[in-house]
Amino acid sequence: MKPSLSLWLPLALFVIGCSAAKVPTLEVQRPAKIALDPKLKTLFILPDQIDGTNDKLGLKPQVLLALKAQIESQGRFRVVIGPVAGIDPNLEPVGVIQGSVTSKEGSETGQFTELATCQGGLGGFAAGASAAAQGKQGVTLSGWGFLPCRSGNDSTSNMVALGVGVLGKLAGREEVDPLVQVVRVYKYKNINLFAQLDLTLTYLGTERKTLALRSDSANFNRHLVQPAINVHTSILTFAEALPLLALPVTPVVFRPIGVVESSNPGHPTGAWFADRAIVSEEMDKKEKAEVTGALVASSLKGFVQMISPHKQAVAADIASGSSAEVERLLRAGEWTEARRVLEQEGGERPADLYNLGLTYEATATSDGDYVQAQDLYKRALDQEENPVFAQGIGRMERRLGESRTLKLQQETKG
Amino acid sequence: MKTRWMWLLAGLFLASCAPQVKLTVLRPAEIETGGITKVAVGPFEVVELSEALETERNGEWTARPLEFGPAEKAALAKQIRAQVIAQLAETPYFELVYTDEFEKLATGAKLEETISAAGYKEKEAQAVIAGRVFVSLTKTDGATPKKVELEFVSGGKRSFDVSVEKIVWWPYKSMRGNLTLELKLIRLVPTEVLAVSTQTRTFAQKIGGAPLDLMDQVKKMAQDFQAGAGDAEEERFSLIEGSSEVLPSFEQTLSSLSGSIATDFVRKIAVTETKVALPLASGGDQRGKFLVQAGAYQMAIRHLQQVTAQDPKPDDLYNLALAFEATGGYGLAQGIYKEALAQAPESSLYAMGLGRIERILREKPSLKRQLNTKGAK
Repeated sequence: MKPSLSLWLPLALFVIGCSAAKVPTLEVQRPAKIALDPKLKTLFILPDQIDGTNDKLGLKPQVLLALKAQIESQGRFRVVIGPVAGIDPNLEPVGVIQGSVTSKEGSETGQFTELATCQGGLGGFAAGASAAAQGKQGVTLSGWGFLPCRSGNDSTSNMVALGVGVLGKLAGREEVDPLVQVVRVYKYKNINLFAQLDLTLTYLGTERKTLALRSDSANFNRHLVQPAINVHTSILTFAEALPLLALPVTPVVFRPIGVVESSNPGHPTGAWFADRAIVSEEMDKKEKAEVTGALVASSLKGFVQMISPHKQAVAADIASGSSAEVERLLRAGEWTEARRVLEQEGGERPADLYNLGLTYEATATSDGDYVQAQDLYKRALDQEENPVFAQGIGRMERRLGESRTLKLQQETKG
Repeated sequence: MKTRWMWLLAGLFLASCAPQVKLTVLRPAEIETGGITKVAVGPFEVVELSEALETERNGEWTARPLEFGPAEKAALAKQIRAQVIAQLAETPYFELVYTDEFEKLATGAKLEETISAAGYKEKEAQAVIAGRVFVSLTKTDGATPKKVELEFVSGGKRSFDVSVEKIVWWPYKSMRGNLTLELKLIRLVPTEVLAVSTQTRTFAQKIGGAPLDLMDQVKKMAQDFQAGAGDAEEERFSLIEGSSEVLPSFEQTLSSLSGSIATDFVRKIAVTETKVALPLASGGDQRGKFLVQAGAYQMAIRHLQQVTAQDPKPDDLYNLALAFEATGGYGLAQGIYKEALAQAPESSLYAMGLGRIERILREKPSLKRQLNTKGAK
C-alpha cells in the first residue's frame, strides 16, 4: 500500500522527460477567427437581450462591463452598452450582441478517510515538512516514535521521501527508517462555481445576419479540508496483542477479529457519518469576486477572439548558451535591453543568434521583424541542429501566414 | 500481470513524448443534406429529467428524488441548445439563422405541426434543428467497509517489518447518470426530416472511498492517460481551479456531455474541421525532422527536398510527404509516401501515411461538392 518505487519512478521519468522550461510568454497579435465587414465599427450590447434567468451568481452586470472592456481593449470596435441609437444601420452597419448568462454556486460537506505514512529518518522528516508546507490535511504524529504522518496521496511529499531515501542509499546508508502506517479521518468542504456564456453577434445593415455564435463555460472547484485525526494505527493495543502472544510462531500479519472499527472518534457510538463538522473555511468576499471575475473573463475570451483581432500569449524557449546577463534580461522580458546587449556583444554563437531573434519576435511591429527573427533562427539552426531553433522558424511561418488576414482586419481600425 | 501493466504504462509515456505533428483536416458531411445552406435552431424539449440522492447510513439505504419545475427544465434545455449552436457555428458549412420564431415553440411536435400548417415559404431559414433531451442522474453518499493492511517497520540496522489488518469505514460520494440527446434536422420546404441522431453519453465520478491497490492505481493512470491522449484541444470549457476531490456541478457535466453529442451530430450533417496528431519518422535527417515537428513546413520542404535529392532515405521521404500533407499538397504527398513505402514495404508508418492520403483524395470530390453547392460561409 505504501508508495512504491515501481510506481513513482516511471512518473518521475515522465515528468522530467516531457517537461521543458519555458520563458515568460511573448504577446503576439492574432487575427479574428471570422472575417467581418470592414465597415462594421460599432457594436451594441443589448442588456435586455442578455437573458439572466439562470444567472444564480448575478454575473450579468459584470459580463456586460467585461465584454465591453475586452472587445475595446483590442482596438477594433467601439462598444456601447444599450439599445442601438445614434446610428442609422442603413447608412452605417452595426453589430448587436445578445445571449444568456448561466451561473451557479454549489457546496457540500463530508468526511473522508485516508491512509497515512508516518516515517522517521531524514526522508520522513523532509517529506513531513513538505506535507506541512502544503497545508491540506496536514501532518499528525504517530503514537509510537512521534513520527510525522503524511497523506498517502501526497505525491509531492512521497517523491521527497523517495528522493532522500535514494540519495541516502547512494551515500552508503544501510539503516532502515522506522515507519508506521495510520488511518486518519478529516472533514472537508467542496466549493464549485460555474459560469456559461452564450453570445451571438448579429449584423444590422442593409441585411440582418448572424455572424458569430459562441458558447463558453468556465469552472472553479476547490476542496477545503480540516486537519486530519489519526484513528487507527499499525501499533497493536495490549488487548489486541495479548492473544497473539500465545501463538507458537509470531505471524507476519496480525489478524484481529473482523469488526469494523469506529472512524469518528469524537462521536459516542463512533458512527462515521454522525457529527459532521461543517468546515468553517469559506471563500472570503474578495477572493470570490476575483474568482467570478476570472470565470467571466475566461468565458468571454473565445467570443472576443472570434470577432476581433486580439493579442495572445505564446510560450517560447530561451536558448541556453548566451551570457548570464542576456538570459536574465530575457527571463525578465526586457527584450529591448537584451537586444542591445546581444548586438553589443556581437555574438555569433547559435544561442546568441536565436535569442536575438527572440527579441525581434517579442517586440515585432511589422512583418519585417518576423522576417528578421526567422533569418536569425535559421542562422542558429544552420550552426546547430536544435529543436528550439526549429520551433522559432515554425512560429514565424505561422505568424507570417496569419499576417495577411490580420492586415485586412486591422485596416478597419480607427 | 504487474510487469505487463508497467510496460503498458511505460509505452504510453514514451508514446506521449514521441515526436508528432498536429494537422487540421476538413472532413465531408456523412449525410448529403441536399442544398441546405441556412439553418435555424428550433426548440429543445426536456422530455425526462430525473435526479435522485441515495444515502447509506449503517447499511440502510434511502433514496430521495429531486423535483424540477418547468423553469428549471427550460433553463436546462436552453443551456443544451446553446451547446449545439456553438458546435454548428464552428463549421464552415451552414449559415446559422438566429430567429426566435422556432425557439418559442415548446416541443418538436409543435414545430413540425407549425411547419406543415404554415406551408412554409423559404425565407431566412431552409431547415431547422430540433432536440429532445433525456437526463437521468443519481448522487450517492455512502461508506464502504474495507480491510486495510497497516505496515510497521521498526527501523535501524536490525529492522523488522510486520503488517496489521484493520477494517475501516471509507466514506465516499459519487455521481453517475446519462444524457440522451435526440437531434433532428428538418427541411422546411418540402417538410422532410433529413437527419436524425440519438446518442447517449454516460458519466460516473467518485470522490473518497477506499484507496486503490497498486494494480488498480496503474490501471486508472493508464485509463486517464488514454482518455486524455486522443482529446482534441477543447477551448470552450476552461478550468480556473480544479480538484479531483470535487464532483462537477450538474450544469457543468451536462454542458460537457451535450457538447460531445453535438460534435458527433454536426459531423454527420456538416463539413467539419478535425485536428489530428500524426507521428514523424524517428530516423532520417535531424534538421528536417525538427522543422516538420515545429510546423516550419515551408522550410522543411525546401530542406528535405535537397536532402532526398541526394540520398532518398525512406524516413526523410516520409517526413517530406508529411510536410506536403500539412500544407495541403496531397498529390505530391501521395507520390512521396509511395516512394518511401517502395523502399520499406514492411513499414506500417509509411502505409498509414499513404492510407490517409488515399482517404483524403477519395473524400475530396464530395467535400468540394458540399462546400461549393452548399455555400460555405
